[in-house]
Amino acid sequence: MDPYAQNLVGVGLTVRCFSGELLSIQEAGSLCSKVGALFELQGAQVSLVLGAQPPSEPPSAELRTHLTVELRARELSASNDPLRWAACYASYSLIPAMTEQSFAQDVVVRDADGFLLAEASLQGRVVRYVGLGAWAGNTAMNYIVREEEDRVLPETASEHLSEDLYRQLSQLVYNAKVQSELLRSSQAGR
Amino acid sequence: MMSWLLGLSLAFAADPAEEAQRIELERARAQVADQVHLAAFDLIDELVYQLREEPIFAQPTPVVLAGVSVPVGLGTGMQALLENHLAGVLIANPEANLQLVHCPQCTAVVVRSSAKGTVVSRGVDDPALLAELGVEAGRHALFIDVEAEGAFLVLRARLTELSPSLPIVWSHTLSSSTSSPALLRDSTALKSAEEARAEYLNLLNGQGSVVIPARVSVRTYALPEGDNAGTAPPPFIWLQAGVELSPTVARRWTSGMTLGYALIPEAYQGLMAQARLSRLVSGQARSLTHPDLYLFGGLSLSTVWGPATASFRNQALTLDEILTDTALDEPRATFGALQLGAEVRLGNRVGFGVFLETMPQFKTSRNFGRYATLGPVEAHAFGAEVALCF
Amino acid sequence: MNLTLLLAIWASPFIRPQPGSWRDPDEAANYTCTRLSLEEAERARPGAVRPRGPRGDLYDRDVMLCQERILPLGLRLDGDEAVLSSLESRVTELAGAARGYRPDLLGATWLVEVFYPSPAVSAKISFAAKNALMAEGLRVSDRAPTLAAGDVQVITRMPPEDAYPTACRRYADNGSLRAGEVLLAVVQLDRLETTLHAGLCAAGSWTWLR
Repeated sequence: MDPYAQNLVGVGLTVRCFSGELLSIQEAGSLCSKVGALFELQGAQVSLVLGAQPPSEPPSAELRTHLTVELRARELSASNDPLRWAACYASYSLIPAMTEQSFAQDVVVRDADGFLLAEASLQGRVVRYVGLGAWAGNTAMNYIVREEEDRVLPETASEHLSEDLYRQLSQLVYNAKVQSELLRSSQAGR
Repeated sequence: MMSWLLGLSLAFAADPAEEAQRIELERARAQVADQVHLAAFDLIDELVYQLREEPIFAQPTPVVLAGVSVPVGLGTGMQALLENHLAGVLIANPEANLQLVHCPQCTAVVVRSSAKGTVVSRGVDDPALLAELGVEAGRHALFIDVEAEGAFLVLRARLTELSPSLPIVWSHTLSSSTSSPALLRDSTALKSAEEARAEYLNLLNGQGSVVIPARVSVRTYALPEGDNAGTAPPPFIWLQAGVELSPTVARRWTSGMTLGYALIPEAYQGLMAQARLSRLVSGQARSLTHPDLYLFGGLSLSTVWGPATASFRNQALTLDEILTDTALDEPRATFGALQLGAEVRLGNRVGFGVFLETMPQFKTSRNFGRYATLGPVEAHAFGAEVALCF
Repeated sequence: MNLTLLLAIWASPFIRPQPGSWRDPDEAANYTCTRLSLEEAERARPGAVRPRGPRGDLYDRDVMLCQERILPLGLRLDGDEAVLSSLESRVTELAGAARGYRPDLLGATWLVEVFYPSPAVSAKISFAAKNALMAEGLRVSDRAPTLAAGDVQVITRMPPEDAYPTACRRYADNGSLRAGEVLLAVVQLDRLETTLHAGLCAAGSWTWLR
């Protein structure tokens, strides 16, 4: 779905971010404000909360739907092969050394009563090559082979990752919104 | 990019550029259908195999093939292929007790007008109408659906009794992945996926653990450099034969012993004994379909004689030596060598290898140069070889 | 030849699916990767993974199994792709929920109806849902309940929260959903969502399952 469309008009949204082993309090706060901005762009009324604190202002009563999005991040695995680093040194970094990290972003969406509407664990993996060989190869590819939008620059990976995360988060919250409306209508029907 | 291509394909394509993109998208679909249909065949084989092992009916029972649907987005050509394959495999396996019968009324769209209204449906959806059309009661309709779900291909089958309440009497769901190699099965001797895999591995492993290699190898010796440089030996050509043993059945490690003979009349003759240890690096087991890459290390003992072998000594050759050597008392040298190299094997039948060799005995010799230096080890000779294995 | 070449040979059997020098992001998006333990990987791909040595390994290993999508992204509409990619797990979950929600209906005959914009995808969901209900051990029929043309005209103009209960009542009234039969309706309420909702219609009364 298009994360820049007005998908969440009339929705009150509390984004709750938790720090942990992967994210410090500052990082969790920064994630929270970015995700909040994303949902504000989509027309939602957003309030941000760090950790388990109560929200600073009570949700406005005129909005039909209130959702709480909880974000937690954890590390799944990290590897840093000493053999590859040894090869990197021995070859004057012509053979790139490689570090790898996998992490999961757990997302939970609840309605105003705390009822679980949607849940997902989005997993990401970052592989980083270090070395003259990797840099030279990449730079050559950037300027000879790749189109301008396909170039791999130092910030490309995090841009792609954020874009992906935002799309998936938007879809999840949208699904939760429809689910919450369905629940409300079926409760009203009883 | 693909998504807007898709958008364009749904719009009315009039522009030649849009038309070209639509054709490109169709081409991509046809290519995928081509790759997917073999995997779908495998699933159909697996389905019929399971039906043969556990038949639904005790007796051969007539069944109408009511529908085969293919992944959303792939064409009807694939549908026809799957139908034909299913029919072929069911005929080849009568033990499954499903007899495909022809029933045009069942699969056709029929229109019935009555006092209650007009109903348009397929024959299989309206058994009462089928009975009126003279189709005998109690027949069964088989529905097959193949769908691409992420990285997996999923086959679903159900069998419905063509009676008024249309009960489903049997259903089955099978899933597979196209990134696994196609199963080695033919339609008359079906096997389960596990059996087929075991047979494949047996075939890989069963080609005997002893191989007899015959090799032709050529060694060239690096030219010495510097003021006091001597004369390098001429290139040597060797014929070698021996035996190669593999301690593991997958041939990940092999060891070989060969004896070699070299002869260029009027120049040199030689005998060589060589031992070698090879390690497969291109996978966990020898491949039937792809070349295998081995790295090897070895050591050899050679004795050479003849007028051209005078360089195998540590001092630079003097004119005097060259003159005396040509007399009856031929020069003779015996030396050891260590080698390191890589070999590509095709089907464990043909091999091509390159290697570097060092002769510790001639480390200080002025008759040898070096091709490469690996730490304290100097590579004096470079060789290439072709092997035939029996 | 020096150490470089040897190490390049040593490293060559590893192929990684992430975007980078040899793979653009669109192509990489067509891979789905799962992290497996060594034992799971040996089961999933026998012969492809070096088993753990008898005295353990030098360092911890796990396996990233990456598989290419059968249909590359972009060949189908994004919404359909999202539903079809995980069809099996969705219908299994729905069938489990349906079975668990009304244990009193275990002996009934189950019918399946799908309300999804694309007829081709509807047929797929219906097929999968019937198989999933069969796998739950329920009695399932291929029959589909019908509505009169007039009913359809009225119901399609109603908002969803009224339309489904009304249709359910009409099914019972016109006799196309008989006593002892229960209808599992699989519904996509909103074109932009990627979830499938489900409702049960038994004896003229409608319940949303999820």
